[in-house]
Amino acid sequence: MALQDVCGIRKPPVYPRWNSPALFSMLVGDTMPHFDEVGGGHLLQECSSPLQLYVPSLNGKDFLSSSYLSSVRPPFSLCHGTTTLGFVFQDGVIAAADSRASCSGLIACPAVQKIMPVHSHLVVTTSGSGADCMLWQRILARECRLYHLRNHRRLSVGGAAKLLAYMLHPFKGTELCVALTLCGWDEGRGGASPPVEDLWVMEEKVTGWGGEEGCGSKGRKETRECAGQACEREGEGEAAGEARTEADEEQTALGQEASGVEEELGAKAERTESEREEDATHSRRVEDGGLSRASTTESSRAGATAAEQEVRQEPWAGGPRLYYVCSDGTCLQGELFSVGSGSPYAYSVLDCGLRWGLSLSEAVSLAREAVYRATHRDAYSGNCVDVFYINSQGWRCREREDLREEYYREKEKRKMRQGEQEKCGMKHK
Amino acid sequence: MEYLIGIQGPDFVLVAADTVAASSIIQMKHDYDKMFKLSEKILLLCVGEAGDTVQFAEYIQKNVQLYKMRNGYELSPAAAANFTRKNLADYLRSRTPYHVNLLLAGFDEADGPSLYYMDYLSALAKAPFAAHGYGAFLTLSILDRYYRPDLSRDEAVDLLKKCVEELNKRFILNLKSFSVRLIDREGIHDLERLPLPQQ
Repeated sequence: MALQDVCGIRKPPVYPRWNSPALFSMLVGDTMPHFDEVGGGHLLQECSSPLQLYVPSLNGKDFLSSSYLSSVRPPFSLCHGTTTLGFVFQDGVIAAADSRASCSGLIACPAVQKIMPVHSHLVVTTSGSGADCMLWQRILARECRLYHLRNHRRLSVGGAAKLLAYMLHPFKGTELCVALTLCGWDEGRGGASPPVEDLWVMEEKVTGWGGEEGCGSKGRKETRECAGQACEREGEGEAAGEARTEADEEQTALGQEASGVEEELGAKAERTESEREEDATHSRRVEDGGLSRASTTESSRAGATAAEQEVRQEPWAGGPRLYYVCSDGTCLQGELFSVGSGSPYAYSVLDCGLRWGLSLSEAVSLAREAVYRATHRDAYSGNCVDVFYINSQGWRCREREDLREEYYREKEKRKMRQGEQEKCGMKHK
Repeated sequence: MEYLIGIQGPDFVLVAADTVAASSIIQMKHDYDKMFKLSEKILLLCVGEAGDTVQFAEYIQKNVQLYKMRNGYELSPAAAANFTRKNLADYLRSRTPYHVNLLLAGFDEADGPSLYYMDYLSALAKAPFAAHGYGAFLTLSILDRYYRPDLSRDEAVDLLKKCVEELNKRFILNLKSFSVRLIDREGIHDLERLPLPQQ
């Protein structure tokens, strides 16, 4: 990024060669080189990774552990007041967040954007310290874009989550605080694909959808930019089939390559779920097998059709995905996450109303309601609510809504209801 | 908060872990799998600090698989356990120690079943039964009392159920469900989750 060049943070030996993927080469038997050695300009043997660029550079002298880091106090206390949430339902993924940035007792900004797009099919909701979130969202967007350019297909949501978790790991124990929810749609590896729906035919009465002029069209324009990539043209019917077969061919080529010498180099940070599928390893299968079995046995969604179940369980089939990544190292996949100081309030509303079979308008109003209740109770959340919707065509956002109006509307409704009850009471008497 | 348990029989090892992923007071995920498959017959159960668990366990997992690719045969459970311990010990006095508690369970053709207990200070002990977490305080004495080296599989599952019942009764946290796996000569088998669904 340009600012880094100007500040001279970027040192040529550390910056990766444009034509080689970032690697984490971990050789058995070698002591894993500590990241702090990078600060002095040393590198992991032949590996150059953009990730080391962001390691806090402590010159490799002796220093004690966290006491060194904690001696530099931030000038103000960082607060993590926010309510963000994301959930998966039969039609896609909904992401919602409030828009208040607080700093101790002060509302630093009442109109912050907490949900930011990473690419056309991935949106990230941020919580934690605002500056850290902005930076890491940009870093993630950059890495996803690089992956896309190098590999001619989008990085899956799970792959992006893994990448982000690995990039955040060196900062564990420092003051860095980000908790991101990655909400997106995986395009799948061909074969089972989610039903293509006409995005612009809206039967449900959802107020204030951005429509053509809003964020949705931005998403579409983005896809057309990379016109060279066949797999991008998902919205266009004829090309879609073509795209999938191309993706298939690339996948098998990758698979053959992957099973060869490349494997020698141990864990690659950028491995997507689909690449790992083709490995000799079955580790993920055990994990995901366990998870998918859990979701069938535990869920009470008896109404889900076989196709829906497939979309939800088979990671290689594409479909809606939701991941939670935190700077303390947590990386979880799930179907409902809420993050921030207002999250308990949001969870309680969502746990009551959330089911797989929601329609789009129901899901949007549920998300909005959850954020509204959380902003009502939590002092550090408030102002407006943003709702994003991601499906196979990309992301769309709803117009920002001021929740103050909602509060007054509800008050009015309550008054009216009370008035009516009194009237009924009087009639009965 | 988290709970791991392992019981070794004459020709199998039974392991179970709770399936809750929590963040302060909120349960973020109810079906989180804490077991990592190192090879066809070795499982690593890992609990501890949030990011460290996955990072460390995946690091061990990939390296065990790399060993197999390079040398054509798999590491034995004893070798895998000692490799894990060595890595944990190497990091212990570094700036980034891994705060993880582990159980490694495996079946070896030559040595039979084995269960290894490891903690965050990189202590390693081969044990006939073991548990991690606050729940261990409540269940180790049950294991002490009822364990026999010649348990059958059903008896081992019953013993596990006894432990889970005790946790439900006395443990302050609500550990609703546990994933259960059994390793024997044929490999790793998933057993039914505990507690069994109400009928």
